[in-house]
Amino acid sequence: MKLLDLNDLDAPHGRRLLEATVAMGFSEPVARAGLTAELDAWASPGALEAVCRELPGDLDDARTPASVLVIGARTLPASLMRAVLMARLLGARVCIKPASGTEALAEALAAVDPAVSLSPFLSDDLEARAAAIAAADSVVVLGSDETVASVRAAVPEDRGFVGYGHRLSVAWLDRDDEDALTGLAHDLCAWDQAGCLSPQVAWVTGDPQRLVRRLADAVRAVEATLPMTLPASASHARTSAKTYAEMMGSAVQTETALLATLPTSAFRASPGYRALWVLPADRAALEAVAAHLSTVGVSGEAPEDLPAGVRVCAVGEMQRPPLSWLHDGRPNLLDMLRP
Amino acid sequence: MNADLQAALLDFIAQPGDFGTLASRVVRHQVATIPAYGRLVNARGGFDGDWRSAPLVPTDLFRELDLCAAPPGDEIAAEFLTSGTTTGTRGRRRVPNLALYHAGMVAPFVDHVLAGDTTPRPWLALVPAREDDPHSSLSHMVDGLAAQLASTTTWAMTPGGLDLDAATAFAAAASEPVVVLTTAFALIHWLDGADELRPLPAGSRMMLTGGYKGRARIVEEGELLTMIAARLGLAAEDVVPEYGMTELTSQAYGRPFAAPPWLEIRVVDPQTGQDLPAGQQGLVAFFDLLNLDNVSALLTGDLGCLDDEGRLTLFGRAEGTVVRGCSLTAEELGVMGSP
Repeated sequence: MKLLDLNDLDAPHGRRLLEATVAMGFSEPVARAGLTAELDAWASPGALEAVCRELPGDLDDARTPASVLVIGARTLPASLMRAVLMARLLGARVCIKPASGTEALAEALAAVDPAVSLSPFLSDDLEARAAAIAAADSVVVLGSDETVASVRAAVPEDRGFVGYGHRLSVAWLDRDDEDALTGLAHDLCAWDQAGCLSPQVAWVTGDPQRLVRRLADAVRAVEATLPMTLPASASHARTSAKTYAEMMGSAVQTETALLATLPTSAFRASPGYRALWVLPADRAALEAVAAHLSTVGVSGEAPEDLPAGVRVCAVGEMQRPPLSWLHDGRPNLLDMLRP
Repeated sequence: MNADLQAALLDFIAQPGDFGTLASRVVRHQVATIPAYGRLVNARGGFDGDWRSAPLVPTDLFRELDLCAAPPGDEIAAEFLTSGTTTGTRGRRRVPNLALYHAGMVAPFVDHVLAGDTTPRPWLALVPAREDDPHSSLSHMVDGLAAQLASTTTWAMTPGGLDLDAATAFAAAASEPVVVLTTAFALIHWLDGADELRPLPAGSRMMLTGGYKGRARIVEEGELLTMIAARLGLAAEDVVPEYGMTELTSQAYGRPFAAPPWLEIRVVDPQTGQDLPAGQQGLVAFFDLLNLDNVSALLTGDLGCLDDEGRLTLFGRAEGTVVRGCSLTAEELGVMGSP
């Protein structure tokens, strides 16, 4: 499969992908680490075959889409790449509608695989969107729930449809040894915490303030190799979060990250860009956001009875889902088939 | 309420003196009486006596923190709520005592809006009357000013919306200079909705305040002034912008905005929080001496720059965080996520 030629980020195709990712505002080390993690998942022995085993042996060829439209409304490069890869595993031609400002990413994918092309219509150009949908056997959308619903409504019933809305992820630290803290630091710094697999909150059974001081050391070690510059547009939200933490709990700031504790357990959304709320573990607080959960990174004993479809993994692995991961609990290929 | 400090502030309003010394006393009072602010100052290493070093509190934190010296449950004079149009969550400011509010609002208004002429005139208020919106600081201010300065007041913003007929009839009946107090969006509604408007008598004045957050129609100031001149016959110099906010006791007026002696306007670097020199754009911050029982050192989400005389030119709201990934944001989560 041509897409696998991206695996060398220093070769021309891979370099182009890397540069497109850096152009989204990630430092090159962060972009390289994130892309490498995804490409490693692709190259993992037996990974592609494992995904293809989702398909029934007696699959009617008529259900296999010849063309898939992938709408990447707001997502990370790794998610877009995976969606394209899955469509290509079905043998479909792929047309990508990239988010504004990420056209270079789609172009990098198209450059390596002639079966991948761009459909850069404007988001509010419903006529162009309808034409793109009409030309596809199946549609994949990565974006907000609102975007997913809007596209879903526009896709005819006889087409395949997969919608991945925005989700949040959290960490649950029942054990906070050095490996766990290093893993959590990596999960926080990967993709600068922009992914739906990035932890926004870490619930900890130990003392949050003591843990944060140790976590800060782990983050400092990781950020030394994964730098990030906080954009001016994110400064105000960071300041608000830090001030709130200093008023109601505590805050430790590293070169790039804000690690904040509160005495309360209720989930609190992160402003992103490596700002993590470290809160006292409380099962009820976790349950309150269960409907939005993508991944729970765990150290020690995992919370029980998480909803079906929530991915549970070790901290440090949150941003490294295996290729066979059931994205949001859904099969990767079956939903792309024509009904 | 610290009676000595309030008396000193009332003296300052009547006869401005050493801002720094009084500001330092105000900060110490707030550190001692507003628990969350005390914790913030302690987290930043304590107060060194220089009011400029007092930690700035982002105004959006009023949405979830009670930043008031009066303990919850104590009797208060007023509770002001923000519009909530930015996030859907209304900020809340409890005011134990309105003496400073009332003392500080008249002179700047007279100087700027009335150009020093305190002859009682008929007023048209395109803001809700205080009894219709008891939690609006703007309504409270206009009500207080009208009680002292107007000959009559027509309140044309009713609970059912703008009373176009009342506003238009007021203009038609005006036979002497009048004063119009309005928000920008209410004025545009009036100008758009009224078929025929009689120009206001020469010598009439207007106080124009507020932005367009959450409003469908946005008009640039130049265009608005042209509309005002064409429909109401007021020249730009007769239309005086006002800058106030629920979280502040004092107001700034003019084009550019000039502050009264008890209000210090600052522009700070969004990333470092350091004061920027005149001419450089940054986030607007205030130190309002009259915010005695709330917090005086406030950071807004507005962009602006100062001139050599400390006057402020606004450039609108700072752009929000540029979201790159698929992680669920505070806005998508609603109230769970703020700030």
